[in-house]
Amino acid sequence: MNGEEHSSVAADASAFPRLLEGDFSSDEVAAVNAAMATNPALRAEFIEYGSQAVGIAEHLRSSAEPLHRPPSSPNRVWRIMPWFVGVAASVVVGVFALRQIVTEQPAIAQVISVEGDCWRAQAGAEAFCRVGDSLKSGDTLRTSGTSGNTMVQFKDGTRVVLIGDTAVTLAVSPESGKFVRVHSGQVSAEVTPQPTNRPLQVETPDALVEVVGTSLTVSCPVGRTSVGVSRGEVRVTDRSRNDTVTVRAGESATVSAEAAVTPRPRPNLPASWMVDFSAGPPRGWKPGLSTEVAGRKGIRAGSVWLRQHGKEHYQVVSPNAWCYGLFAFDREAFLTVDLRLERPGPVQAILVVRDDPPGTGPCSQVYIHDDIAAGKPAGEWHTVRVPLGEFRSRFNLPAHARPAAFLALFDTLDQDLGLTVSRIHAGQP
Amino acid sequence: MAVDAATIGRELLVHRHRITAMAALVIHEPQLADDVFQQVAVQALENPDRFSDAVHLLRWALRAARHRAVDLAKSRQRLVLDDSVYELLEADASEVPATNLAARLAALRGCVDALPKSTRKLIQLRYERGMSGGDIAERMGRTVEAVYQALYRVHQQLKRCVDLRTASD
Repeated sequence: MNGEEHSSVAADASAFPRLLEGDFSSDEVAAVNAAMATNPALRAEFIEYGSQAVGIAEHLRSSAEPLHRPPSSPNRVWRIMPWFVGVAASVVVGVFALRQIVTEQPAIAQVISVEGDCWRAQAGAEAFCRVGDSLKSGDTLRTSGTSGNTMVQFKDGTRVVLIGDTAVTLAVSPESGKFVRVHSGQVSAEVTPQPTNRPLQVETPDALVEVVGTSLTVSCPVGRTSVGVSRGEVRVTDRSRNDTVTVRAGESATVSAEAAVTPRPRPNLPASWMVDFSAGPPRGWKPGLSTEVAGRKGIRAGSVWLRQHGKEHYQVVSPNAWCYGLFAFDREAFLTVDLRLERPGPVQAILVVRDDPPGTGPCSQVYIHDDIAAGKPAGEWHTVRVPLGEFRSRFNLPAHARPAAFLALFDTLDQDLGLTVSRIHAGQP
Repeated sequence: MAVDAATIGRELLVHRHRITAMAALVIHEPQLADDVFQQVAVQALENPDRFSDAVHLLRWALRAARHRAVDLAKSRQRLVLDDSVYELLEADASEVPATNLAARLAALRGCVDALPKSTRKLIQLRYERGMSGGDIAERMGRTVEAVYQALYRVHQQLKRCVDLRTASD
């Protein structure tokens, strides 16, 4: 195609995908400028295209949709946070990357518990996981919902738990041993002693963790991998710098672009937790926006599309602090929140709790208070205090030995009540 | 009459999609566009007295989002369209009633869910994983041009689906 033909094509709506990737020459951009200036229909198509792109991205991030959803879900449990997912495509990556070792492989592991939604991708097809499912080398598992988790056990007793919104691919080969690729999310593992020349390898986009026999957690939000060790020791390699360090029991290390990987003592779980939004929202809070109402700064609840309910909820959600936890969940303590509503209505407070240190013990529990703002008039700031003992548990699970809250959210259900939260404190007043 | 901070917050959330979409037309990455929206919201709330009413606020927010997105695109050595074109786009975008936009968004969700598996995979790679056309082409064993065409066809298909669903409501 010569330059003139290219410019002509560029001014057509079919070229939007290429235009929006910046894959245009300056001549083509000039052609688009000229066409847009005189063609309202083309502008309308362009606006529609951008609107769709944002709408699709939001929907995919929030819908936890598998690549292929079976007609019914035998293990579906109430899910509170589908908006954290955004990992389905990672499953595709894992499937393709390891497809060469998929065919005709014997079972390497088994699913031994499923809480929440879990999908298994095998040779390109997805199905819901069931307890007892055999897993082959190259299988990819994806879990969703922060309260959910799925436990897998290899034949030698090594256990891997996928927590919340997580996707991993599992493989075993005689040459290199066990391999867990964490595409996204968080895992805990109890690793039985492995041959020293064939350690279990946990790979994330940023790091390679080699484990001979230990208990550890690996978390990999975008651009960062955190490794915590409860027992034994592991070798952690920063893949971009090719630096390797040893992380021992009681230590953690983070691999990121910002700083070289360095083992540090794992912080103790604090007895109290406080977040003050007066200086703007701390990183990772979503999905609302930083705001200032009646002289106080806070974070205003934003909308979240809850696919299973087919409606939007309005929420303020903390970052998922699985690795380190937010605070020790003590039923004798209190949750204190400075909040304001534009319109009266119930405000649910939800705390998601795991055991500390995170391991492969009982699954996450969800504690709910149905209305922390009961009786509080709208249009004013209030400080509400509720005992954690008044929170009801969502699941019938054994009690955690040392419960640690790792996620907090405030939800006005499907009504935008204009909830703004300014300060949160958990612990003794 | 100035707009108070509570109204600003509410209006920005009502028009969040429109403002984010404006930024996405410049930088294309929905995640970055959402960051731009957050920056615009903070800026609006820092000086609420500047806005005479909600319409003024929306027009300002669309413009601020565009300027920030253009700055971001330029810092990444991305080509951008003329300012005059973005002004026309802004004016066109601000005329769509919020209720229409909300209905179309709701319909879009249903249409995305109804896409066939292979098509859904394509948009997951593009919009969920944020992969470029080149990376998708490599992953799927197709040419970049074929990926662009496929993306365009998906958007057209979604537009027809949304039109149908909103017309029947």
